Amino acid sequence: MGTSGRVLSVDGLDSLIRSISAEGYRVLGPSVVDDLIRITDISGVADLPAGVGDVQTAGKYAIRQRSDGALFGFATPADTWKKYMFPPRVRLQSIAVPDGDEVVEHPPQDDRPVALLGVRACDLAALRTHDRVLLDRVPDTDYAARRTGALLIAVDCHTPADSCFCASMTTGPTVREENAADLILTELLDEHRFLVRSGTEQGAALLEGLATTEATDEDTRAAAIQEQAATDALTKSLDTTGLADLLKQERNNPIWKQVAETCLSCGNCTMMCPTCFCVSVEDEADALAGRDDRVRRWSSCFELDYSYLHGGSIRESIPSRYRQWLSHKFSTWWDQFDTSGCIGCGRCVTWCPVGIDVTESCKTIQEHQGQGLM
Amino acid sequence: MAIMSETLTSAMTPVMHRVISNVSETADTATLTFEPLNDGLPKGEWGQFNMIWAEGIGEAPISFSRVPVDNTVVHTIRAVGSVTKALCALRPGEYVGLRGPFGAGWPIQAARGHDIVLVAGGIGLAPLRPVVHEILENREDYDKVTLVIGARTAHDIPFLDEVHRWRTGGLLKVRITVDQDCSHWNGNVGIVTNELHRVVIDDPGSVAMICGPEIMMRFVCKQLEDSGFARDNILVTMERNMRCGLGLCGHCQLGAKFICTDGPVMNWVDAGPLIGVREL
Repeated sequence: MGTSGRVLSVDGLDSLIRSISAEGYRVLGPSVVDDLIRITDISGVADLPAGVGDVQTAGKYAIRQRSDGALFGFATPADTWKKYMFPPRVRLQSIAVPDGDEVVEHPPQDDRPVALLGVRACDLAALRTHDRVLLDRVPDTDYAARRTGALLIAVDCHTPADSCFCASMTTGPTVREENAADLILTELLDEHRFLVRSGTEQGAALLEGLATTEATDEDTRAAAIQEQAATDALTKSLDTTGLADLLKQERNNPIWKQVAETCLSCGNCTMMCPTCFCVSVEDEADALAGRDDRVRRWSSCFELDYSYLHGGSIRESIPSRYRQWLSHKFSTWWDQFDTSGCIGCGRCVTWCPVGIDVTESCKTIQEHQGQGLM
Repeated sequence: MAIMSETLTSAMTPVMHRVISNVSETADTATLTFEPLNDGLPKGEWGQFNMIWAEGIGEAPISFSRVPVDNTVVHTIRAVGSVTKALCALRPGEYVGLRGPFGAGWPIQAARGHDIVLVAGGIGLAPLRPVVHEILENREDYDKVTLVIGARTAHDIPFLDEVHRWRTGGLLKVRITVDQDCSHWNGNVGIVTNELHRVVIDDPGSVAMICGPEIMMRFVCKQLEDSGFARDNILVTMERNMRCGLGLCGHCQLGAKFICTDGPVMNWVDAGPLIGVREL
C-alpha cells in the first residue's frame, strides 16, 4: 500500500467527505452536540468540532475551546463506534403467535455502508477486538453486515486526555498497524493540513482521487514531533506485566471490597466501553398484532439479573460484579480471545459517575497481592 | 408455513415445536416431550442442552433428560423462574421454540471398560438419566456402575418409577438418601457424601459424573478425589445463566469459561478452582 505520505488540505478533507457521501456512504464522525463531542452524521468539514477540545478525567467530561482551529483536537468522542457497528438494540426475529407458523428473521435495518471518520488508534484496536469476538467464532451476521462494508478513516490522536492510557495498552496514540484503516490521517496544526497514508487498496484508490501533494521531510518531521508530544502528554499508565495472571490469583483477596467500595453498579463503564459485547435477548410481545419480537439489547455485568440463576443471582454483591468487569477486561479476555479486553481509551474512567479509575483498581490489586481471603 | 431465513445467525432463531405430553415428576418438576412442526433440530447428546423459548416470556437452558431417538425431544424442567414456570404449565398441543443442541456433554463412551459412579442431587438426575440409558443399553461395555441419588425428601426424586426399575433390575447399584425423613420413607436419611462412602472404588480408571447443587458437587468431588479418583475423571455439569448458547452474550461466564460452550460438562481440574470462589 502507499505508505509514503501525501498531504491533504482542509478543503481536501471536505472533498473527501463529500465524495464518499456521493458514493453512497453514510459518513459518521465527531461533531459538537449538546456540549459533547459525539459521533453523528457528517456532511462536510463544517460539521467537525473546529477548535473544540475535551477535558476528560476520572468522573468528569467537558468540552473546551482551543486556541487553534484543530478539527480533531479532542481525545475520544463521548460515544463509541460500537453504537453503529453493534447497535444497542437489534430486532432479531418476529414470530407469529401462538403457533409460530411464521418466523421472520430481520436483516440489519440500514444497509447503507458507513464511513467512520476520525477513528482513533485506540478505537481501531477496539474494532479489531470486536472482530475477534463477533466474527472469528460464531459469526454475528448483523455485526458482519455492518462491519465488512465500513470504510475506516483514522486520525492520529495529538491531544490525549487525562483519562487516556493507550500507550500502556500498546494501542495508541498513533496508528501503528498500516492496514488497520483504509486511510490514516495525521492532523498538523502549525499550518493546518493532514498527512495522509492509505492502509488498504480501497484507501489507496480514494487517495488517488484526491488533490494531494507529496509530503516533505518537514511534514514528516512535524508529524514525528507531534507524535512524541502526544505520547508524552499521556499522564496515566498501567503496568500490565503479569496482570492477567494476578487478577485470577487474587480472586479471593478482600481488597476487592475496597477497590469497588464506591461502585454504584450503574453499568456506565460497560455502556461506554468500546469492546463490551454482552447482550440480552428479550421478548417484546404484541398481542394485538399476534406477534412476538425477539430483541437483542446491550447488557451489562453490573446488572443484578446478568448472572441470574434459578431464583437468585450469582453475583449479588457489587464487589463481585466489579471483579467480573475488571477481570474480564484485563485477564480472562486473554484466555477467551487471545487479546486484551481493554484498549486504554479511558472512557470508563471518564464516564464513571464516582470516578473509579480501572488503572488505579489494577494498581491496588497489584499492591495488595497475596493478602488474605475474601 | 413460511420460514424466511435471511441474514441473521440462524442459531438464534427458535425452531417451533408442539408439546405432545407433560408428565408431572414431583410437585415442581415436569417432563415435557416436544415434536417439531417442520424440520427438527440436530440430535443432542448426553449432557447437552437446548434453549427452550416460552412465547412472550423468554428462554431457559434445559438439558436433555433423554437422548433423542426419533424427532421428539424430551426435557425435564423444574418450575423456578418465570420461564420455567410457564414451560411446566404447558399443555399438549401448545407451542415452544427450541434452539440447540448446545455445549459439551458427558464423554460417556470414553468411560467404557471402567467403573462408573453417578451422583445426582434432586433434579440433577435429569441430565444423568441419558447416561444411565446409555449404560443400560450397552451394559457389557461398562464395569461396575453405581448411581447415588440425594434429594430433599422422598417426594423430590424425579423419575421415581424408572429409578425403582433400575434399582430392582440388578444391572446397576442404586443408592438413595434424603435430607428429611417422612412417614412412608424406609430408606436412608442423610447427605449424599455419607452414601458415597459406602461405594467401594477399586478401579484406578473409575469415572464419576456428578450433577447437583454446587455445594453438593464440591463435597462430592473432594471426597472422590480423596478416595483416589483422578481429577480429570471427575466430571461435573455446571450451570450459569446461559442465554445464547454460543459464547456470544457473556452471561454464563465462570472465570474465563463460557459455560454454554466450554461446558456445561467440565472436569474437576477446570471446574474445581472456579467453584471454590464465591460469587465468581
